[in-house]
Amino acid sequence: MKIEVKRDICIGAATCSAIAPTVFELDAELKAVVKDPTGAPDSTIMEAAQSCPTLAIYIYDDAGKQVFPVPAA
Amino acid sequence: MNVVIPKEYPATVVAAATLTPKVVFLQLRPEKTAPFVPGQYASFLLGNNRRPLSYASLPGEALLDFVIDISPGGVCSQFAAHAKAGDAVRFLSPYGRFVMNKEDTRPLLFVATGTGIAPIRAQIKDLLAQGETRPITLLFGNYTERDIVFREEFEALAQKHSTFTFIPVLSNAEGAWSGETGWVTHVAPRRISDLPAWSAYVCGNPPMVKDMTALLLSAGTPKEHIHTEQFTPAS
Repeated sequence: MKIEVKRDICIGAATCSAIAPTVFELDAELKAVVKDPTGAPDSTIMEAAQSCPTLAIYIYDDAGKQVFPVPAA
Repeated sequence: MNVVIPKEYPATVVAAATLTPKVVFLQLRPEKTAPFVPGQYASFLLGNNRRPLSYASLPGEALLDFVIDISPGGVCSQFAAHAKAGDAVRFLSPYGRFVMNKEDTRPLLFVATGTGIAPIRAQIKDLLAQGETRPITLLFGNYTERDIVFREEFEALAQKHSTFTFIPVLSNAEGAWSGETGWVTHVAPRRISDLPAWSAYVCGNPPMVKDMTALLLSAGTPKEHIHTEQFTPAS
């Protein structure tokens, strides 16, 4: 699993760091950053991504395919 | 404050009205109570997109108020511009840390521009409804007189509550405007002589928030008494 935070979309809501504090934190600009991509179970990381108010967290599988947000058909 | 994990809420549009050529007022009835604190926001689920919108109403009210700048013309603008009574919507809530510090005893300066007034409207109405006795001043910056949303409401609140002062500020005043002109950053130190003694809650476009923060810091307002929310137009 690969995690990407789109900084231009992130508004620093901090929901991700509340749900998965071992994976996400806010930097000095109050943008989410990944501090440890393996710091929580995949399901917790996915929950953090799904809770983002602006869909700023992208999740990719090991093959590089985007799994969240689900790409538009 | 602790971050509450947001939940999804279905709601129905009760009213959609044009407040100004650029701003739409939306009122929703949620199927169940969506808890939030004044100053917080919801994230609207719009197709494959999400857009944050601050609550302009008070917690516990049956209807939820939002004000949306539709000038960007994007997903949220389109949603708001075409919303009509009966439309079904969904949102996640609550989000945000732009909330009142309950430990604070200082007088309160609120500064808003444009639709940045939404969370501040909720905060001020909540404070006044709770019988707050501290001085509360609202500096509300807009381009022209017709851009001042909730003007009559704030004027009525100022009439009713001697502790509340409403100061609209226009950067492009037209006609017979006799109120403040220019930028809120210019008006604040002129209208509040002991600025460093106040706590400030600032919400609006990013340049204003940045400039106001710099002004307050340079005036001597402690950083912990400056609360900000950058409020970009909904795209």
